[in-house]
Amino acid sequence: MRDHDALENNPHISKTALEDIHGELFGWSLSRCGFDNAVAEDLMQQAYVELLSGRAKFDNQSALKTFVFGVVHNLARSRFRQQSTHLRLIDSFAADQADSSEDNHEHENLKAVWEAVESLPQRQRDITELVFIRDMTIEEASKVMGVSLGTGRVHYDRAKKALAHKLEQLHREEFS
Amino acid sequence: MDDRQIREEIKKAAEATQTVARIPSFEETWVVAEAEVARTTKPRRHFGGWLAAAAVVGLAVAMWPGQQTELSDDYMIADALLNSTSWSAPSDALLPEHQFDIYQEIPFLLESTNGQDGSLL
Repeated sequence: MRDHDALENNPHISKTALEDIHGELFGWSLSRCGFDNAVAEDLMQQAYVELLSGRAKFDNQSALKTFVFGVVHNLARSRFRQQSTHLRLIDSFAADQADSSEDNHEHENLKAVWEAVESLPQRQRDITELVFIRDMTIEEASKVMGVSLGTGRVHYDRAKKALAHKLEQLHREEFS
Repeated sequence: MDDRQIREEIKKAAEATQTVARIPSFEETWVVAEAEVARTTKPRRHFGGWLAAAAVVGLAVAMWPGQQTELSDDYMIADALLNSTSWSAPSDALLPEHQFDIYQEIPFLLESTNGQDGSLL
């Protein structure tokens, strides 16, 4: 059934459904562009253009979130294909933090956790974010990344093992 | 360390860092995207329309009966040869007209049965 606010060139997508995932999509866009707000907004706007124009056609074969995340992922990939460096989340995060020692300690912990995530190879990092932070299944995350489920599982397992090892190491250092 | 613990730690770190970013208004982003689509698709539609109209006109001109290329005499002769039951020499192409009567200008000769000195007159 066509929603009352379905897009003209994408009848399976409604504006309301997009609004519902807007915040999550922004988070995903941020992570795709090294957490640069302006670039993330631009990426998201580009994704909406793709959906409005029908260049990215949703056929209802997967969840809308999976599809739209995939659109942003592909746009970011083509945009940054030739860019070798990415802005670091930790840098911007560190600049905005308060100076209390307790906050600093917490900040150091978070920074270390993020560094563990960021030290992973790109695809392992992507699947970590999609599964652990964006609450997707491995299957959905694989679709977003444009890889097969089997490949997605391999990336996920490797990422999980690497993270478990690094986090355990961090905990040991914290308590020693 | 199990899946749940890893997930919780990473999610916590991510949520803490995401507070730095301000989520842009959906409506604002949407309006800009709509304007962008309107700007980029309308000229294309016009262009597409003009292109289609030009194609139709071109096709009509090409198929117009009066505009058809006339067949050459050579082709007509060959065609006539192929479809006829009678034979005509290929050298007929050299004649001033197709199926020109080559005997039309032969003078009329009077016949005589009268003889003279053993020969017909």
